[in-house]
Amino acid sequence: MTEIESGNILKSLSFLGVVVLLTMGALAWTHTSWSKRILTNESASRHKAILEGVGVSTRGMDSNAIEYMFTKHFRSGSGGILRYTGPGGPLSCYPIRARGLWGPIEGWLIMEPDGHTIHSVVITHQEETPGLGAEVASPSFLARFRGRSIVYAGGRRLAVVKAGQARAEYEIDGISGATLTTRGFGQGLDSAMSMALKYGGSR
Amino acid sequence: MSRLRDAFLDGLWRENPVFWQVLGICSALAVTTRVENALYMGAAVTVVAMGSNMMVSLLRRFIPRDVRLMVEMVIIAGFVALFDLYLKAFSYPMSQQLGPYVGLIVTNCIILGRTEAFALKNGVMESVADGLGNGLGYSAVLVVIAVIREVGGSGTFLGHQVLPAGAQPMRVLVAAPGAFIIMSLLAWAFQYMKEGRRV
Repeated sequence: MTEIESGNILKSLSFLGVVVLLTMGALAWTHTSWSKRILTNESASRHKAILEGVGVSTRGMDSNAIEYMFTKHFRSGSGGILRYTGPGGPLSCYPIRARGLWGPIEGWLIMEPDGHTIHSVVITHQEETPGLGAEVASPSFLARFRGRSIVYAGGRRLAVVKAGQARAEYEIDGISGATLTTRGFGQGLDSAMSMALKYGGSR
Repeated sequence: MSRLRDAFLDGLWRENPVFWQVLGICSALAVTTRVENALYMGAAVTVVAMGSNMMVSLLRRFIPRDVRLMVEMVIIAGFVALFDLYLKAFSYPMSQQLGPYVGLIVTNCIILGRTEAFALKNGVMESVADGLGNGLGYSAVLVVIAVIREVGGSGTFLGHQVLPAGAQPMRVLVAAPGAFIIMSLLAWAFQYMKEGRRV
């Protein structure tokens, strides 16, 4: 077993090939039998954030319960907008699609029925640098948006600026040490606010 | 029976993979901010080490020597992918917590090292015992580091508050430098106890 059997390369490669095929087969079979659970989990983890965002607690809920709550309380509208009609509602959720430093940042801008007050901002996906850009998804950063208006005197819009540089009432501090993440997120949030102003309005 | 016990104890203590062989350090530093993460990561490595050792040992008379590393890698990658799928299907929040570190078990030298150094030359039972010992040896180190980091750095244990509300947790323990400091102190203590060396 220990000496190198050169000249038998074909046999060796065939052995390797068989091992690869068997492994792939076993994995493909497992994946197929579990794929329904996995898809439900992935979808529930996205919906969990928005449920928490509108104020529905998902503590201790499994994926199926989260999916049930989501379909019960949310209706989808045009342009990817979600309307929430559960307790504490109605609220409108506008999708945030932003470019981060390493990949997309996705989330929701959740607006009060008055059409210009932010209820909350949630992040459902981000791939930013842990400890720096990843703070975009931290409760302490997102809390800065809660209850803020998106429009101000003189047609000014709420804007995310460099960390520590928020002076005017329409400015919000960005994330320190993450200029590009802050900028990308700010632009994504701005598009969502445009949508909110277009489709929201006082009702 | 004593061969099984030896294979097990070597991995668990006498030749502990982290403190003695100094392998698997990257993940030991990365996932030890919370005890729960350390438990799952330890379970992952233990399952993969046992499974890979068992398969390689079963096939040891048939694996051609010139492609043995590739065969070992395929088997290891298969077990890691399986565990990753298991977490995604049955423990999704944990698979999010551990992020890329489950997939990176493929590159954990403990596992390739055990298949290459042990499973290729020993029987199935001994190889499984060796995988179990090394996996648990790795897990034990992770859990000890994680307990120190979570209790000291966040004031919690398995997510429950344990330090009195007034106590200020030491944030440095949760940060990367804290992991290095604790790991090196523990490694020193291990070597000191085991060898009586004055390092």
